[in-house]
Amino acid sequence: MNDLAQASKEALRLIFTADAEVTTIVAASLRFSLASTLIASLVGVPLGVALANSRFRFKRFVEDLLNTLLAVPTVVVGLFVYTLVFNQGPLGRLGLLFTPAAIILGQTVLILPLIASLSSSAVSGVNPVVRETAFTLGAGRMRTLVTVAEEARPALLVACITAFGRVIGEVGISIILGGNILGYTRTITTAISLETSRGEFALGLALGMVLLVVAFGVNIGARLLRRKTA
Amino acid sequence: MRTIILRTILICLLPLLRAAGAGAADTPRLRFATTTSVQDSGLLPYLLPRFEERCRCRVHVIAVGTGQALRLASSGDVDLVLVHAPEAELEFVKQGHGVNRKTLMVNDFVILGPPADPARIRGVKSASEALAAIARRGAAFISRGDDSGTHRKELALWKKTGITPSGPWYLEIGQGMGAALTMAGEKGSYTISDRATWLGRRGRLKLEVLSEGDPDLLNHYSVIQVNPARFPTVNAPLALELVDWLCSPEGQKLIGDFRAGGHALFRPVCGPGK
Repeated sequence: MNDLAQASKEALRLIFTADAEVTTIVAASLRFSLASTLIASLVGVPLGVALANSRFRFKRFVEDLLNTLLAVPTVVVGLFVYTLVFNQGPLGRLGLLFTPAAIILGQTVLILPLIASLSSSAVSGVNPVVRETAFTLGAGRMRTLVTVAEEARPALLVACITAFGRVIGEVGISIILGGNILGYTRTITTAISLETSRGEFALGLALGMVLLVVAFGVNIGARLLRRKTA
Repeated sequence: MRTIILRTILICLLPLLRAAGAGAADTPRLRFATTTSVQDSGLLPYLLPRFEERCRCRVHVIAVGTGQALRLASSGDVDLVLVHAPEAELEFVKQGHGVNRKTLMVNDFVILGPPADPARIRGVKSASEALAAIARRGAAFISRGDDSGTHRKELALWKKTGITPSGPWYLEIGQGMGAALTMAGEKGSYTISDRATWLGRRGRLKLEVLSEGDPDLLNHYSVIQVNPARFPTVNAPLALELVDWLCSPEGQKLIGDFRAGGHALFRPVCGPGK
């Protein structure tokens, strides 16, 4: 108990003095997570919108597949992308392993299904009248899609925020693809896992607190947006 | 609104672009896979900034176990390794994955256990006899179980006792040295650790050194360059520069002078790999 109190005190000091190591690690985490969320959103939202508005034979199957991918552990995604980017993999020539790009790629793969699936259900929730009205007003297929998506905008944003929450807290991909290199690919979660194994609880706790604050902010944001929808 | 979104997108894509170009661009990069003890004990954080200043390069340390370091090297994903499992190293060089192996420094392993010492191994000189006593007693023993240098050493010692460790008392945890020490301390188990990691952690652990000093417990650390003939993408000149520097009088003196908690942890012995 005494250990915990002491470590918490030290953790607060690290945060409030903006300790250089803490700042670097937090900045790296935010950069990687924002980048992967953005890329995955740019691809995943249109994909989800298109899926919700299309009818084809295996639609149910595709939806089931997406929902299954939501449950895939991060280490599995990490391992899968590892086999792509390591020196003897198909993308080996790019030398991506143990760089931020590899982490971002892995995280993007992780949340793409999440964003697509949430976007699809967000758009499905839009009143069908919107769609019909757009259509009767002479909107083409693309224009109709955009109109429906605009109607569901808050829910689509929530989808992206949820995805951000998932990547900022993941550790499997970052450690397998990033290698936990100090000042380069060390993120909040990989640093916590390292510090715990070294028995240095203060830095780990400090980073855990920052992670909590970020997650809290994300949740508040999501709630505000959801209220806007209602 | 739209410009804000566009700007955010650009800002977020920047690190990606920069990272993609990092391999070739401005600062040369050396990918250095090492055993965890040299990183966790503070040795590399103490040595490498000095080298980085000289070479105007960045050394990216990927601290994993010896087994994983050698695997990364055998697929050409790193340029240099620092490991401690002589037999595996010789095999690695024999298969043509590595060149220029140099034994850099030595320290030793210690057998740790709870102060109560239920298997009565305190002061037993022979490491294999100490392990045999633990097995006979069925006292809890934590094994790294992760194909690291320490794990390989432990298995070699078991082999010498003629005992195949198994049963509820033998716990393979598949984690690093730090985690193994924490677990042994919490559960009052025996375990084997390199001395450097142990000295860095001992203040908070309810463990004691019970058996030490057997020549079998010596721990040789070697560097091996990844073979550039097999993997043209490796940064061989930089790897060679670091090996030469670590073996130079300057590098060897720094290793010998390194202290953690007042203790010298590594004895420099640079020479051709044994």
